[in-house]
Amino acid sequence: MKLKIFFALVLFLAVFGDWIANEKPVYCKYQGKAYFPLIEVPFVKLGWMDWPADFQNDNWRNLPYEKVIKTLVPYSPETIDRNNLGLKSPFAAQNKNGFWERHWMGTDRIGRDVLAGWIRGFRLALSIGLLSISIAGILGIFMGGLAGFYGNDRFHLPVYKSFFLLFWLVGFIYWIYQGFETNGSNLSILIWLGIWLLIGVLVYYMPVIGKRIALPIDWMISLIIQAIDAIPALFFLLALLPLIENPGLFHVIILIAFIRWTGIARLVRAEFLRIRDLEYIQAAQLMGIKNFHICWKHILPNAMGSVWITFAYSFAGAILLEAYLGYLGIGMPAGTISWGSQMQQVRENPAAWWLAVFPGLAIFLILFSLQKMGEKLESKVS
Amino acid sequence: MLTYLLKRISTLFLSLWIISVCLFFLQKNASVDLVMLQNKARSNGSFYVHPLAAEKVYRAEAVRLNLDKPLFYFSMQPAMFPDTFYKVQYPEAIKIQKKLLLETGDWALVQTYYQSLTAFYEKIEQTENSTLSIFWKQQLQEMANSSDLSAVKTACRVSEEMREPYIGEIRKIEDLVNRLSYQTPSFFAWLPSPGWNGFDNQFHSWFSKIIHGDVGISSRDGRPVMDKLKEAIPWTLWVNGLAILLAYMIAMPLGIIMAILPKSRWLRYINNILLALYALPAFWVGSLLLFQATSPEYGFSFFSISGWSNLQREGGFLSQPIPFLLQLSLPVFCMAYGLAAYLTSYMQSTFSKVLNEPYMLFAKTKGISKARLYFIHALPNALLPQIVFVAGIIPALITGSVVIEVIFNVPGMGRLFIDSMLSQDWTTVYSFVLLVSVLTAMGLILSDILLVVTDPRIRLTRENKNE
Repeated sequence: MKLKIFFALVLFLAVFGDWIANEKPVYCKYQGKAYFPLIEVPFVKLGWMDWPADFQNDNWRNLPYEKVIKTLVPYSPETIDRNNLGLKSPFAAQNKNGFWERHWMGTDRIGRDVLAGWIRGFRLALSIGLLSISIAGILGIFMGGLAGFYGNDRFHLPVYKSFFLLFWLVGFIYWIYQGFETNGSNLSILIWLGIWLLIGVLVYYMPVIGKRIALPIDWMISLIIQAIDAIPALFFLLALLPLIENPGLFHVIILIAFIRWTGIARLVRAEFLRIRDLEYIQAAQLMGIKNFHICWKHILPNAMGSVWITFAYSFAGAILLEAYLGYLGIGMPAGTISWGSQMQQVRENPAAWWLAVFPGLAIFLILFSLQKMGEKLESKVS
Repeated sequence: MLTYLLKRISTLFLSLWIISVCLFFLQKNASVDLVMLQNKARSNGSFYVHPLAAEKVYRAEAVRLNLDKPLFYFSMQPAMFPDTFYKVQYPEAIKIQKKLLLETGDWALVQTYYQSLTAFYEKIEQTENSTLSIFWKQQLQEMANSSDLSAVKTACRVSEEMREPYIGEIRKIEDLVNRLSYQTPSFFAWLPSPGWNGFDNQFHSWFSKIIHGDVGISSRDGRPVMDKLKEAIPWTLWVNGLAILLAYMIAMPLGIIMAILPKSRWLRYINNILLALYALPAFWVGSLLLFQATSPEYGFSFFSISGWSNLQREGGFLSQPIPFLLQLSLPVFCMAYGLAAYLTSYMQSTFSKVLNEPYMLFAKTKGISKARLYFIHALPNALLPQIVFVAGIIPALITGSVVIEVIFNVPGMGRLFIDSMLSQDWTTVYSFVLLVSVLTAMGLILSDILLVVTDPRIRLTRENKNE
């Protein structure tokens, strides 16, 4: 129960963090007119509303408002407070006017509010964790299910179709690659890709002629999993990131997902291997139910129990990886504010403990509660 | 049993081969140009050559670095590409010629066009250095760097008197540009033309060198990567080895005691504390400790950030064990506490599982003394999964030790990796990833084999599942 409250709080901070820590006031009266700058941002961007020119200068903190209601933390993560430059401790005397302007977690070297950045960190960590784990989950369940359900002996194809499949896959990869090379704008390649897909479908529906052999799907997928697992996660990430021009959040998410799917796939494979030999599945197969339906409706729900546990642990791993990246200062676009990047500043200024303590505390609490959740799920499953 | 082992080991080699192919292509795609770097290193800093003259300078070095060969055993490219496209050196030239070829589909024409640019440049080189020739050199640089044909046309379109001395060459270029801009690749030119390159390719020579232990030369300081690795590995081994040792020394007795003790509230609290310790990020603790340990006003001065080189010079553990261990204490502690916490709860669960086995009940009813019961009958059975477990956590340990090494400035593999990454020394980076993945794969397979060798029950189920 306490865990649920904690996760709800984290989710709240991640979603509404920008409305809690923002330099734009919630309500203000400026030159005789009332505005709600915090809420109006998207409307102004879309051109549905107009702001006075003074608002466009990003100088929100020093405007002569007639009336103003500020947010709880009146700083954006990027706001530079020129009055409190150079690592002001939370307990030190700060140049401020008003109680709410205090930097509760101090400031960093260039005068940014640590609390505002800390709140922003929730959004970054959660979006990277959730998105990468969902992608990894989909990929892992698909590949693991394929390997576990068919194994090495249950995916039968006529010999000619097996050879054609190999040939077709090589061609498919070739066309996709050429499509990327020409930025998908070349008509001939798109037509060729369509033809290739059509040929694939046609051959798929061709009759069974000659001997049938079993494709070792399990062996192939296990080989891929083994290869990816052999490279330690951080090395893999660090070796791949510099190859991308202008790496962004999206690339980091995709790469973490690509590293993390193997763990989920291994578990799903083992579960599918176990469940597919149970009697009710054999009964379902005898009844002539389609394989996909069996997997989706009858095996997967039973396998999910233990899959959720790995989700919790992989989520923790993804958040830790993101923190490592921020801390090492590699991969994330420059200027991204995250817990890792806040902690990185401690390396140059060891005395600024507040830059390490608060972000680290957030990481610790999230990791701890995820572990706790994993443990709870585990005891539920067993 | 033997077939199982053979199967595992052959898949291991296959997956390592796949990894090395992937790493090879990643290394090829890394955005830094090896030849340029080497040339720069030789000419001490600034290295500028006109793009049209660069290819000659470039080719000599490329031959030396084995870059003038096809990449892989086979290749697959659109039919409009010539078989020998890999012979075009110099990245800019490759980029432009490839783009033009993809747009026009006529390799002969593209080549004539590029050659006429080069011929023009060579003619300017032979004439004396006037403002006019400098102007045309600049124009040519623009033309050679732009795949946009209309930009080339505008570059040629200058006043008559400037065109006058080189009118023949310019006319030729204009003519070729006109012919090029009307060309498009035919529909069938996109079909793949597979080609077999034989064993004389870049991957083959790279791979055979790696098998013989020669992973290449660091592009940062020109030293063999293997030497750098050999210097770094002992430090990582010391840190990780000591951490594992320490973790086991703490976890084994603690886990056994916790398993033997009756279940109570306190045990639950201790379990929670262990979980918290496991979740405590080591790099956070490390950076906090570092501040404490390096500032003399807190009374700790046994650790110094720059103390490593001292130790390196004076011969490590054997000559001065106490300063050595003190220097290692902080990173080892940071690596060890999480592992110890995890191992304790793992030991606790396996030990209590063993205690609940029927044969333990039988031993108890026979009246065996408690010490004998725990240490002779329960411990060996509970210890087995622990030992197997070590091999499985090696990848996680190595990942964790990267950040710890960076924090405490340990001259180990992790720091070498980050340093070479930041200085874009891709040869080191990728040979590194390869080495680490070989080690990890070995560890994983070792744990599997240990498990199978020691517990026949697992072997049976596994073989049933795999076949």
